[in-house]
Formats: sequence, C-alpha cells, structure tokens
Amino acid sequence: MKSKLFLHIALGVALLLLSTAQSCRPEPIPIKLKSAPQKLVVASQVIPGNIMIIALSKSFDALTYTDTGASNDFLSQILVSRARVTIAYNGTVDTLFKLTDGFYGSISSSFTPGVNYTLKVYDSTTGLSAEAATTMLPQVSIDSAWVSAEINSGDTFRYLYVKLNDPAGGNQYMINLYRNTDFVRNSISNPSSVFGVFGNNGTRTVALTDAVFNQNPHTEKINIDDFSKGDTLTMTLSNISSDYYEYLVQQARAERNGLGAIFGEPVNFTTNVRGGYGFFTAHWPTSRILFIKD
Amino acid sequence: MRHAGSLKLVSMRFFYFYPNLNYNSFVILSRMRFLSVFAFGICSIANLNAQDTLYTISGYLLETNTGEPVLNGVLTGIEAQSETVTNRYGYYSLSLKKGIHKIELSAPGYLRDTIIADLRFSDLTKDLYLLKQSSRLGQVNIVARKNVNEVKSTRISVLNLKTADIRNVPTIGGELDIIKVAQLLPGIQKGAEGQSGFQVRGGDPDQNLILLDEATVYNISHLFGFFSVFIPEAIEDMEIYKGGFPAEYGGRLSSIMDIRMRDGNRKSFHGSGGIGILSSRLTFEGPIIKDKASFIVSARRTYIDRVLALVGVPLPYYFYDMNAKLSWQVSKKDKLSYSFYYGNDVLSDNGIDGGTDSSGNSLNTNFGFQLGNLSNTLRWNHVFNPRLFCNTSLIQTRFRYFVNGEFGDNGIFIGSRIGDIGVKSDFTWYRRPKSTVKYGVSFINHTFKPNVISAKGIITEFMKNSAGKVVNTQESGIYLRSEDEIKPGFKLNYGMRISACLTEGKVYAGLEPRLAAMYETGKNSSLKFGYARMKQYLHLVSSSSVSLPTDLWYPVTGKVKPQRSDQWTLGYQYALPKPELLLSAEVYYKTMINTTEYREGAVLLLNNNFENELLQGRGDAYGAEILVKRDKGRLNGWVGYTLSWSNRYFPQLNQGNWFPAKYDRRHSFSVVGNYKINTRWDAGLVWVYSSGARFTAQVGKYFMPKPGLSGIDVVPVYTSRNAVRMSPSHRLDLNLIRKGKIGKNFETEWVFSAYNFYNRAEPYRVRIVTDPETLGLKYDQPGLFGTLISVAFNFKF
Repeated sequence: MKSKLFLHIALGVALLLLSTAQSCRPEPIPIKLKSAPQKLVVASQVIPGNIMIIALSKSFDALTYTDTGASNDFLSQILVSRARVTIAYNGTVDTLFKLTDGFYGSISSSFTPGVNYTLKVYDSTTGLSAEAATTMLPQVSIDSAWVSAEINSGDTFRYLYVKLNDPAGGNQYMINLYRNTDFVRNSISNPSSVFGVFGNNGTRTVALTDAVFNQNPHTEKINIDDFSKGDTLTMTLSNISSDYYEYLVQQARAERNGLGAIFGEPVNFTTNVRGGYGFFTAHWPTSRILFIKD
Repeated sequence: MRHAGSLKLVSMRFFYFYPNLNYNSFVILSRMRFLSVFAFGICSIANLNAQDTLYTISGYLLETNTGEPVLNGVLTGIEAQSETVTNRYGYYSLSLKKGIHKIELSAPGYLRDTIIADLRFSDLTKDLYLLKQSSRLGQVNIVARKNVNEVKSTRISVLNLKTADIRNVPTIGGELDIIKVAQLLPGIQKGAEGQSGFQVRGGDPDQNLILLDEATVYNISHLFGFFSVFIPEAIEDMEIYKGGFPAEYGGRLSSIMDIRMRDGNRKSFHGSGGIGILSSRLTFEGPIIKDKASFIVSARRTYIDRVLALVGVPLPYYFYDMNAKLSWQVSKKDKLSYSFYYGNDVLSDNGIDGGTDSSGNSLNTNFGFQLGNLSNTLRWNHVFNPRLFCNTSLIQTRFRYFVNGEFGDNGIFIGSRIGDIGVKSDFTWYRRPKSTVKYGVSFINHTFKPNVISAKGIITEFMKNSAGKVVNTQESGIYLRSEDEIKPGFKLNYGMRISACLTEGKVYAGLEPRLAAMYETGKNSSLKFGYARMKQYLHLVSSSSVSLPTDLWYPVTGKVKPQRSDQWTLGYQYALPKPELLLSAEVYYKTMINTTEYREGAVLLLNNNFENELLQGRGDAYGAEILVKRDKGRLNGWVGYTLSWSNRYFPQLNQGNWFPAKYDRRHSFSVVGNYKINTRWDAGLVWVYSSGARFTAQVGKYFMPKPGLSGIDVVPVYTSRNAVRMSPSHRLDLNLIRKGKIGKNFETEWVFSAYNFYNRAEPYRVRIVTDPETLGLKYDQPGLFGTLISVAFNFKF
C-alpha cells in the first residue's frame, strides 16, 4: 500500500517536473567580438573601348548590416567617394576619375594582352590604402553559342551551348550570363546601381578550366532554366587568370553553402588586393546576345 | 611441457586441507582465520623446500552468484610476491614455485578472498570464485583494480569503468550512460551538445575506436548524442586507453574504448530494467545449462514520440537497441560465446497531405531516415595449456543510414553503408612469473558504399542517380609484446605491431612500436612512461562545423593517406592509504600526421567525389591531466582536471599558418561525487567546467560586386580559423536515488535526476541576432539543452 502511494506520488511529480522542464531553455550567452579592421574592397571590369571601371567600397562591422538591404545612407558610408586611384603599366601612370561615389573609371588607359597593370588606391577620408596587380590575358572568341530546349523524363529543360576555341596552354574562363541587355547598359551608365542589386538577379557566372576539357574546340552546356521564353540572354566570355578562377570557385562554393551557414565550412575569400578585399582583374570579355525563342 | 615429468609423479592434482568442503566454502577460506594461519605456516615451509620448479594455477575467475567472468581481477601469490591479472575473458594463469601457496583474490566491487593452492606436485587448473559486494554498499570504482595494483602496473593512460560501479552518476533521463560518464574523465572531451563525437587528448572524433565485444561500433549515439547505444544492464565494463596503447590494439590514433558485454547469469534466472520518461529497457538472463551455458537479452526503446505527442509536439522519432549474448563453457579448455547488437534511430514522418497544384501535380510530402549499427561476434576461448590462452573471434559489423524524402512527384533516397567482416586471434603466453607475452593477428575486410542516391521526378535533373562507389579495403595487423619485471620495482611492457591496409591496389604498411615502463618510487607510488605509435586507415568525412551521425566513414585510398600519431606520456601515480585515494598525474605530447580537414566551402553531402574536398595536414596536442579518486566510503567519486593544447597545420588552410583545433579547450574540470545518505537513499553530483570550444566567427562583411558588375554579394569576413574561443561552459547535474525492495527478491530504485540544474547554456556556436532592446545586431551563443528533470524507475529481480 505504501509502495503504491509512493508510486503515484512519484509519477505525479514526474509529470509536473516534465512540464516544468519544457519551459526551461537556457538563455544564450552574450559575447563581444572584436570587429575585423576596415579595409578597402576592390572590383574591376574592363569594357570594350579601353574603359576600366574600378568599384571601391569599404568593409564594415558584421553587426551594422542586417542582410535585408542597404539604405542609401548606409551605401554613402561604405562607397569610397574621395580616393586617388591610379593604374600603372609600361611606365605609364593613369589616374582614374570618379564616375560616381564608389566608382572610378579610366578611358585613356591602353589595355594590351600580356601587360602588367598595377592598381593603387588611397582613400583620403579614412586613410585606407590598397594595392593590386594583374596581367591582362588575350581575348578568347566565341565560336558559336545557341540555346536549346530539351525534354528529359517528360520535363523540358533549357540549355545554353557555348563553343569556344581553347588556346594552347592552361587556360581558365569565365562566362557571365545576363537576363537582359538593359541591365548591362544601366550598370555601365549608372554604375552605382550595381549596389542596389542583391543576390540572384538573373545573372550568373560560370567558371571553367580547360583542365577538364575533352576536346578542342570545347562546347560548354549550361542549364538556363531560370531564363524564360522571350528573355534576352547576354553572354560574355573572358579569359581569366588562375588566381581569379580559384576566387570564382571559392565564391561558388560559398554560395552553395549559403556563405558560411551552420553546416558549411566558413570561407575566407582569397584576394589579390594587398591591404584590402576583392579582386583586381583585367580580363577582356567578348559577348553574344541571344533571344530565347522556345 | 616443461613440468610433464612432475605431473606423472603425482596422483593428487589439487589438494585442499579440507577436501570434503564444497568448492565455494573452500575458496572462501579466509573466513576461517585459524585455518589460514595454519595453512600459511605450511605454505612457508613448503616454499622453503621448493626448488626452482614452477607450477601453474590457471582457470577462470568467476563471480560466485552468477558464474560470470571477473575481468581484471587480481591473483596475488602472497609469499611469492607474484601476481597475475585476469584477462578480458576472465582467464588467469599464475606460475609459482613448487609448494603450497596462499593466493589472494581481489577485484574492486568484490569481496577480497584468499585460497590455498597446492602446487607441490603439478599444475593446477581450477575456476575460482569471488563474491560481489552488494550494490547497497554504494561503492564506486572508476578503476577496476586496487589502487596499489594500479600504481605498480605498467598501465598508463588507462581507465576502467564498470557499469555496476557508476550507476549513481547523474545522467540524462536517469539512465546510466557509460559513454557520458567516460567523458567526465580527464583527457576525454565531449563534443558540443547535440553532437555525437568526442575528443581524446586533442585528437579528432574519428580517432576513437569503440569496440563492443571486439566489434567496431561506428555510431555510438542516439538522438544526436543524447544517449549512447549501450544498454547499461548488458554491459560489464569498459577499458579506455588514451595513450600507452598495448600492441594488441590499433586502428585509431587517439583512444580505444574496449566495451565488454556481460555473459549472463549461469546459475539462475533474473530480470532487470528501467522505466524512464524518455525510454524503457528490459533485460533477461539466466542459465541454458546450469553452470555451463548462459544467455542475456536486453532491449530498449524510447518513446519520445509518444511523450512529446502528449504535450502537442509532433516528433515521429524513436530509437531502439537490442543486445544478446550466449556463452557456453564447452569444456575446461574451451568456451564459446556469441554476441549480438542491433540498434536503430528512426524518423518516420507519415507525410503531409498537400493536395495538388493547379496542374494536378501532387504536393504531398513525407520525410524519414534510419541509421543504426549491427554487430555479431563469435568467440572461441581455448586453453592450449595452463600458460597459453587463445581467443579467436569472428566479427561482423555494419553501420548504415538512409534518408528518404518525397515532395509531390519528386522523391529522393540517399544511403550510405560500411560493413566489416573480420577475424582475429590473440594469444597470451604466461611465460614465467612476472613475464607475459601476447601475440596475435587480425584481419578485417571493410566494404564502403557511400552516397547511394536514387531520385525520381524533376529533381533528377539536378540530382543524378548514383549506385555509390563501392570501395573494399583489407586491413590487417600482427603484433607481439611482452610485459616483464626487469627487476623488483621496474617493469617494462614493450612490443611491436605491424599494420597494413590494401586499398585500390595500393598497400600501406607500417611499424607501430609500443613501450610502457613503470618504476616504483616508493611503496605506494610510481613513475610511468608510455610511448605508442598508432596508424589509422579510415576517416570520418564530416563538416568541421557540425559532427553528425550521418557523417561518412571512408577508407584510405591512393590519394588519401593513412593517419599516424606518436604519443609520449609521463605519469606519476600515488596510492594514498588513508583516506584511500589514488592520485594520478600525467603529461603527454602527441604528434599527428595526415589528419584530415576539408577545403573551405567544401560540399560533402551528396558529393561522390569528396576525396577532392579532403585535405591532409598535421597536428600536435599536449597537456597535463590530474585525477584524484576515491573508491570507498560513503563519499566517493573523483576530481579530474585537464590542461591541454591542440593545434593543426594544413598548407591550404588559414593561409598556411598553424591554427587551434576546434576542440582546443584549455581547461577542463570535473567533479563526480556520490554520497550514501542512508541505506535507502543515495545522492550523486556532477559538476563539469570546460573552457569554450573554438570557433571561426564572422567579424565583418563587405559588398563584393559580382563579376561583370551585375549586382553584389554580401561577403562575410571571418577571423582566422578557430581564432575565437566561446564562453566557458559549466553544468551541474544531480541525482537522488531511493532504493527499496518488494518482497524478497524484487529490488526497486527511483532515480530523480536534474541535468543542467542551473540552466546554463553550453555554447555550441556564435550567431548574429537582433537585440530586442536596441533593435540592433549582437553576437550571442545559444545552447541546446536547459534544465532537464526526469524520474526513472529501475528494478531487478
């Protein structure tokens, strides 16, 4: 009898405790971390017509930005508006002029394959400086490019085929896809609009290495199901350095892992910018515009 | 053999002074003190007359009431100052000079006993018995040997846990978990909450070999590390080697955990079990042929799914385990046993009826997974002669998991499997007093079948079906070692293991020298040294961020080379007579080469070519460990402290600079206490403190224009690899146990447990969250489990 009583009391207490335990979740423990020092961020683009555009911004504290979008105020804080930007090559030093906040351009530089270009940046507002060097690689022409709709397991998939001639030696390539040409024109005429476009905006970058090519010319098949009938597809092909190829591969890995989400490995991007982040390249793209009919 | 002539001369193989007493009465001769004194006198005289002729007493040391073997029991020839320890099968062999000897039998948790053995005329083969102490005495032993014996052995960096002795240690759900208790010992560092791995002396989680009756257990946990797969009632004990590895062990760099199942009661039928809030378990055992053959069967199932359903939380998850063992003493020289384990984690979502979309396609979803181990071990113990014992085991083990999901007309099945079939033979040759030689061979065929993918629907465009790359490897080892007393107070245990692995037409092989030495610095103290080289021929492919049960085991290949470690240990042990404390202090240094990590941004899931993601580098680990334990008395337990460093170097990571390993925790401190309040109530306490784990934190960001200036990516900036140390974690667990009895034979036990009593988060990562007060962002470190209070009812009959 006594044992039975004890049993009932124990079970009652157990249920009470169980319900109490449900509400006991530990409070997260705050921690203070030292921010990474602010650095300049460099990106570059050569546009046919001997135009080099340098995008310049500054890194920021991880706690100052919520990933939900950047306000104009915030952009004005991180885009570099007072910088001296020079490109040196073959004994010549060109000073780039400011296109708009965060963008500097050169229309007088001569871009020649095989020439080394050294970029120097000094931000007079913050005193930050950075330096990078790159070598321009020869253009690679697109032999042909076409879009094809194919049926697999009853579903239709859309592919872009790009045929290119792979020059001798180890080469790496970058193919950029844009959903419409307006966007490309806008980004050139109003570069700062670039910073208003986050995430996947229909553009895509594919990095290739000829180490995996089976034949020459090589035909690359790219799934473009994110393009629709009636879209205009602008495609550019660039011959890029092995460093930049590695950078693009890293970027693709990071994107697949959600830029360091919990199950991914954190990725610290490589850079060729001393004292900064980003990548200074001088690749010279060739382009094709295709209309998606099917 | 050497004494065959003597054997022919004697007609009486074994002489007791009172041959009419039954065996149990006789071996408990120490209770008849006057006889002992008399016998002792005879012994001494007999020894005076003895020449150098040696005779051997051998057999199994068994528990009196159950007939189960007593592992690591000590037999000491008192006058001869010679002793032997039963092996992992309960066999002993003690060679003494011709004469009558008084032999003391002891093992922690057992009543010490003394027998008189007549070795005047021949060898003697006899099973001996020891009586287990009543669990009511509340003894706790973490080392299965007496303190002094421990001090005077060459064993270094070895710990032993007996399930019977750690039952009062608080654990989650009030259910004894031998793996969780092991993680309270110095040098053994548990992984983050919710992760199944653990680290030993700065090693990686895949560098620990867990053996259940000699079969490798690849996944030791349920519910992401909440429970271990071992049912406490089925387990006899566990030996943990952190360093000073004997030559018979190999295959992993950092630790060997040798877990032995119980044989089951040979004399009478019994049952035991427990009913907890989260799971219940039941064990039956008994004789098949009295005193000859026995069985034990244990099963456990959780009902988390049912319990959470009561509070409205749907979680279609459960796990179960089953252990079974048959043992048969075929003859005095032969014993057969068969061990079986099967366990599974099951998530079975019956699906959500999502109807159809506008095109009539199904939107139903369901998801599930299963993962679990299976192992079978068939063992044959054979005594060739009193001084030569052999165990041969046939082992089969399998770990597999599969995940299946369906969404509408799309479906995917992902599976991975590792299966082993092996055979090993281990010989123990008791060459002469104070000298034992062990040698043996082993062979394992591993079959790996990772990442089997089967998909249907439109998803096949992105996820190709794959039969998985089947890889077979053959791993073998041969070893020889000897343990000798070089001179009084100085013992050496030295040996060599040669291991090899055949994989994809390539052979890896290597020598693994082992050495352990003990030098007595006083009556109760000693200085010890250990050195061991270990090689490892398989790796666990897992993210550095999170260790999951679904991580892939993968062998060495033409590209992925075996891991190797060299570890040096220096230790000091002191057995304090009063109060009976054992103090153990050790320092160690370990180097590791070909340890594995993954490229930054590595994608491992569904990656059939993850070899390309693997990097191999090197590492080192060093530190100091202190353990103070008390086995006896109303208040017993242990205090452990570890000071440690662990670093890694990979040319492709962290810009080619050394970096701290993820579990580089500087300080670890644990207190485990048991207090016997009275005959009905016991209390247990665990307090554990540990420096925070390492973390690669996001400490900045930048906007990076996409190639072609077509938009931007928000790119995180991280610290250097594992540069941030999270906050320390500490936790208090409490137990209160009420013991009772219903009738004559039904023993009961109520266990009231509180895990993480003061509800402190144990950080497992750093995240960026919105501060509800300032609406700005801040860093914090969440923990998974808060206070968990539980009640369990255990019984035994």
